[in-house]
Amino acid sequence: MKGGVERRAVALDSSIENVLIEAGVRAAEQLKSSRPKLSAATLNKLTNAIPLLFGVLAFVAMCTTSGMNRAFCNCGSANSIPDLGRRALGGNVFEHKSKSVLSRRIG
Amino acid sequence: MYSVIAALHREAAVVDQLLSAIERLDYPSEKLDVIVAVEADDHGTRAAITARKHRIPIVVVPVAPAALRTKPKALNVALPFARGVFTVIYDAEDRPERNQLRRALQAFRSASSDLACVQARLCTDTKMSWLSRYFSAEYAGHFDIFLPRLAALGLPLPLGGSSNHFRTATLREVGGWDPHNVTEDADLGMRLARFGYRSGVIDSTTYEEAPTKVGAWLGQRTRWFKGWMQTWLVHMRKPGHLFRELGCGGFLTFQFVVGGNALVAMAHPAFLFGLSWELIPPLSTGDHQAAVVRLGHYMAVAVLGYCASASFGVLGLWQRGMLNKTRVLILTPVHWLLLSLAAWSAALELMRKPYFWKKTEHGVDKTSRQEGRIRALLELERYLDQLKRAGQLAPIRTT
Repeated sequence: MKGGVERRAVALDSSIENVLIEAGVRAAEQLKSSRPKLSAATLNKLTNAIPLLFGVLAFVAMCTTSGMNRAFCNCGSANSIPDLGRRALGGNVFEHKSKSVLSRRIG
Repeated sequence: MYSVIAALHREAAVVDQLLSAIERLDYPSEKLDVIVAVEADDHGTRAAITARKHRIPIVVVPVAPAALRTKPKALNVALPFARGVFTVIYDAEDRPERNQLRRALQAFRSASSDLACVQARLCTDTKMSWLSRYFSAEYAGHFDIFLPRLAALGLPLPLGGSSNHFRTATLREVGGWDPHNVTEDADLGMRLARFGYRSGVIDSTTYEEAPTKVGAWLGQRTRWFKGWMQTWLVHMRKPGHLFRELGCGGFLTFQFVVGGNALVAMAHPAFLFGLSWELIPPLSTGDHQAAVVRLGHYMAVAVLGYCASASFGVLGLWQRGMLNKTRVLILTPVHWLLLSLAAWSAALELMRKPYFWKKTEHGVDKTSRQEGRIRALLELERYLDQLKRAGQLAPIRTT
């Protein structure tokens, strides 16, 4: 008799737990299932990278303002940050090469 | 019936304060439906609730720690239990003014049915560090100046996380809170606007606790920035639809308040970087005149930006009669640097752990709690005085 009551109590307890877990899962999925376009759960990893990309772009855009370019001008190293980048990536070498190819063709 | 929902997680230290504040609300107790959603494995908070002698019935809804562990999820678990026509959300450390439910009810009754939500003022009364004092100034500007102006213009409100009063049916209609969004409040404010509903503000205050240490502050701000980024991404899926639903003013408000907030904070260090680049070359070449001119340009922009940001705080504090607390706004440039740090870490966290909810610890500031008690006693004194004057209080006879 006692064993039966205990079993029932355990069964009831576990079913309440299941109901709670189910309610929790349902609460977590509520908006995702009813209006997926309005839920942050449906944003993929690539989309989540957009703010970081925007931040980097804003940062770069601010860094390449005319004031910064002037600062680089004064350093005498290059005309602007893009120029610096071009130089670092061998832009001048490329220009020399293309000139020589052109002169050969013309010649 | 008025439902009061609070989602608690590891809040044993402040649970008594919250429930006492709810019990003090000027509203018939038989018409109050108090629901407390507690994480099922949070034995400390549950024990603190059980140990307390309640003056009104309280429904405790355990939230199973399955899937996510966020406040909006806990609120969604509690929402089906709400029996009230109206529902208000409180945070664990909240101390709402006694008149708040009546003020909200008044606002709903005097407005048309498209008013779905009213936001009470939030005020932090922690004075333990400059950050918490700055927080108070920021909140004063946001809740006393910015949000009332937006509401007056009929623009969508980015709701604060607490003391939002809703029409329960409307809240259910729009789908409740987004459990995956870590600033579910801002998202819900925009969603209500997209469904054609309005949000307003009421003249009642809820006192809160502000983070005092840089670590706790950064954690909270990172979550806020991450949430605003999520909100922006969700609603900008179809910008055309958003524009049609919010209108031009609403669309611009959304861009400036939700998207712009994070973008400006992220771009701010570049400005400082530019300032140093402007200064170093002329100084190194000995061209001090050029350095002064360039510094002048940059400083003009910086001062304008910082002043615009701080002016909301000054106006808010002035409105609250706390002009003596404006000194902390001198630290706006430092605050902005911290905001930038939070915004960048939010952008990174959004990629790695988008739904991670950094919990803010409450119950740290004991002075604000004492002040809260004093405020409650003063309120009680005022109330008794009113009753005495109206002749509704029987004289106390001592033998």
